[in-house]
Amino acid sequence: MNATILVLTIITSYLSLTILLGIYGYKVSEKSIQDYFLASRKIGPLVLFFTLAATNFSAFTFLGFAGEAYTQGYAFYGVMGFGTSFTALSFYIIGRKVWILGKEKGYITPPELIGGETKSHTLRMLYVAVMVIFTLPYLAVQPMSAGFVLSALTDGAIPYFYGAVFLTVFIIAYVFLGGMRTIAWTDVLQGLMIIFLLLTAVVVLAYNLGGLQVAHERAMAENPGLFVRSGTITVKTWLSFSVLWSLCNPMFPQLFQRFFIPDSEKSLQRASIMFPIVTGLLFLLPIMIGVMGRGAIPELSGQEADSILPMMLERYAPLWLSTLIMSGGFAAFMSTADSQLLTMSSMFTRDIFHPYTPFDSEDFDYSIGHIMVVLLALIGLAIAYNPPATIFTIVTWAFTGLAILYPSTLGVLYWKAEAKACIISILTGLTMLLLYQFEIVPDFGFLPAIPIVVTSGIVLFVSHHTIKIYGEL
Amino acid sequence: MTGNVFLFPADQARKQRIGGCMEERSHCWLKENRALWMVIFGAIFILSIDFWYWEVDTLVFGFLPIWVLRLIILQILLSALIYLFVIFYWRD
Repeated sequence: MNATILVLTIITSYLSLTILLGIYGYKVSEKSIQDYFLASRKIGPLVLFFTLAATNFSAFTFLGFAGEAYTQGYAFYGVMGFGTSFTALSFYIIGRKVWILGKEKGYITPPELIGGETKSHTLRMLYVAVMVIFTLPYLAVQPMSAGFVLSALTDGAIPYFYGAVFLTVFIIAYVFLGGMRTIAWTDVLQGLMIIFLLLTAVVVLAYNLGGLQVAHERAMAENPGLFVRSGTITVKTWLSFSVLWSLCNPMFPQLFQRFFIPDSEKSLQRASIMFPIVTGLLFLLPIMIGVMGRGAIPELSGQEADSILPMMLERYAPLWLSTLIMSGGFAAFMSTADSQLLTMSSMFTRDIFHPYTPFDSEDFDYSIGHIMVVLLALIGLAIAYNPPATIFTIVTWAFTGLAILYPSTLGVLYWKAEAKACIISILTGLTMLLLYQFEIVPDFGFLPAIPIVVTSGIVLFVSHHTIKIYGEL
Repeated sequence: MTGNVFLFPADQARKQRIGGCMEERSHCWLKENRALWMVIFGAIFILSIDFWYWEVDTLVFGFLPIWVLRLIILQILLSALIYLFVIFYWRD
């Protein structure tokens, strides 16, 4: 069979499954915005866990981790692993409160909750702006990765942008049809695919390289630095990443919104228990592939390293198997992109259009929500068509940008922080982000996220109490 | 008739203070004790930033750096602690 046809057959079979889930989701759904955006808040523990985890596994988890491990070795596992696992505590700190408030007051989007609790439209709009600015470029990265992978698998027979369009069409179809319920179901499918296919990749590659130990010995001979931290990463950087992931992950709007959807608090609790083990073990797999890749294909440099997984599969696995495994990559891209798409659509519908429409109609919101899914997907595709150089800068800074919202969110949920204090805190954080971008202020060896979040927190505390004591500023 | 009738006033006050912990005295120290849980999770976090272990380069099973294994164990421990946290502190 022709290689391109084989690749398309395997990928299309998987994508067709997602469409079937979309059709089934459409059949069982109710025509309401609560159902479309939040699956009527009836997601049980297992589906909740998979949708929280799979949403967190992106193109970067599948391709980027292996590429970084190729360069940095196992040190990258420490940088990514524990901080992400620690996010599970946010399911209690942020998630529980958000779930309770959402159920009591019917909130659908994160900015709606923040604006509603502080009775501030300005703060609500500021949350929308920060969340959209730092999520939209990240949305574009997913079809871009799909385009690169499809193009690589077919030796360029499918051009990069056609691959990106191909993926986007399927995502639009099932998100349009089934909304959150279908996304959550596809997340179960995609989560399982990511776990089992990455595991298969490790087993197949290790077997063909003479076993785990032999493959690692080759990597050790190539670069012993892959197995140690000193000389590769500093304690301050390690600490910074651990803190950054713990803070920014729950501030991703697509994860924040998932705290609205559990059917009970028990579901949230069970997801919280499972999260550290599964993410901790899963993250190790692409890291092992990257390290083994350094021993097997040692000559890669720069961005070439990001292709180490498909290159290893091409060299050490039959085409059908490497395509099957790379469909796990598709699952990782899609599980993030679909959630980002729906959440951003809900924010445009509820936070931007709804307050300014002359009539309060659920049908109108329902229709706008669907239209926005298509529009936002097309915007993501347009960015992917000719990605500006700045997109990678924005994506790099997206994590820090979203972490800026953490102190204010905590303040609103626990201490009824003043809206103006939150606004001052967020604007301070964004200003510092710009100063760091232009390297105007020193970072003292930490990632900028640490001084930025600490300063935002202090500013929030001081301005909240100043407003309380002296009244309106 | 509720159990409160059979409690001494001091015990009644204590029960109110610690959220009904009297029924299971042995676990009272784990319930309603926010500071304790903050210390426990804070300790786990600090253990993950093992700067005192930075230079170690021992491999286990012939391929895995020992500090990676340590991190995996810490993450399993974190899951177990969240399980206990759910049972004793984070109740519906």
